[in-house]
Amino acid sequence: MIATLVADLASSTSVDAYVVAQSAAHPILAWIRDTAIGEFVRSSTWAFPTLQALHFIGMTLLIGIVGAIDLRVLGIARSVPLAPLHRFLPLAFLGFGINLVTGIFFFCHDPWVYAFNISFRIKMLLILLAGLNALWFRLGVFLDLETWGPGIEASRIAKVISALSLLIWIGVITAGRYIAFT
Amino acid sequence: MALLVGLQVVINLRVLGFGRELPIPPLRRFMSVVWIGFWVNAASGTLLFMISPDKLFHSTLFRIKLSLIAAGLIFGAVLNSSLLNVGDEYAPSNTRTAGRAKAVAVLSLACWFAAIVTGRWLAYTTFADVGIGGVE
Repeated sequence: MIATLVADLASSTSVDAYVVAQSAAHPILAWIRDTAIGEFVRSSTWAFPTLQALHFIGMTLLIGIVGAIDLRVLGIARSVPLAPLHRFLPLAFLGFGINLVTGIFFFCHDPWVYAFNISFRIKMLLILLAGLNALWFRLGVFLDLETWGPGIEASRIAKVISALSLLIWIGVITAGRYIAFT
Repeated sequence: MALLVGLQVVINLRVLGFGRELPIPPLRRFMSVVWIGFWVNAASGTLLFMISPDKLFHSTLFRIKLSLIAAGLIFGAVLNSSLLNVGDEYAPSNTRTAGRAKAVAVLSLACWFAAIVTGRWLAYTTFADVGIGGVE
């Protein structure tokens, strides 16, 4: 947003005044913008799309693994034993970590774009929901890991949670894409 | 893309030896979902292509991306026919894969991840990701 404003108002002397006013209104956002991370992301044309590519690769790890577990629970690959599939979960957390870090980089790039963006807020809420949904699965349903062998059908409640998980993650991706267009 | 690349990430990592207790052939059930992901992306990609066909058609980056996808599909097909599609529904776990299969899995992952990277760069060189019609 700032970059666009700067470009739009490049010939105008009001640009500095605008940024000063904006920074004064939201000192925390201004501080985030002025961190070394923010400076780094703004410093190069390639930084932002490359970080986005990393964000997408993290997403394939996170949602690919969680999605594989969900699809197995829903019965699409019932002959896959669930316990060894579940052992891929640390890599899903690695994907989440990559996306948390790259996400922080995006936010520092221009905090004003994200802080007031409805798509961003919906996305954060959906990620929280996905986390709670996964906790429900792990603590409420999926207690006897080793018994979910090949061909074993999951309980109805487990299927409901897995279907919710897939829907929520699709929502996260959709809201994430809409951030750039709202 | 999460389906297309994400599920293949799981399969390729297993081929590389991660989560060895997981039997490989049953994973072929995921391939039908991989194909759903592929066709969703092919369809939406065609629409995105139509925004600026001239520019994209002549873009080296776009050609590299499509080549990487083609190579990724070939490597995926190789693994599918050699390891997944072997008709053993309740296959044993803890199997080791050949070095050649591991090489294919590494190449497959590299192609898909590189396709993601070139795709993102493409968005910024062609559309600047916002304001459709080709900024810059």
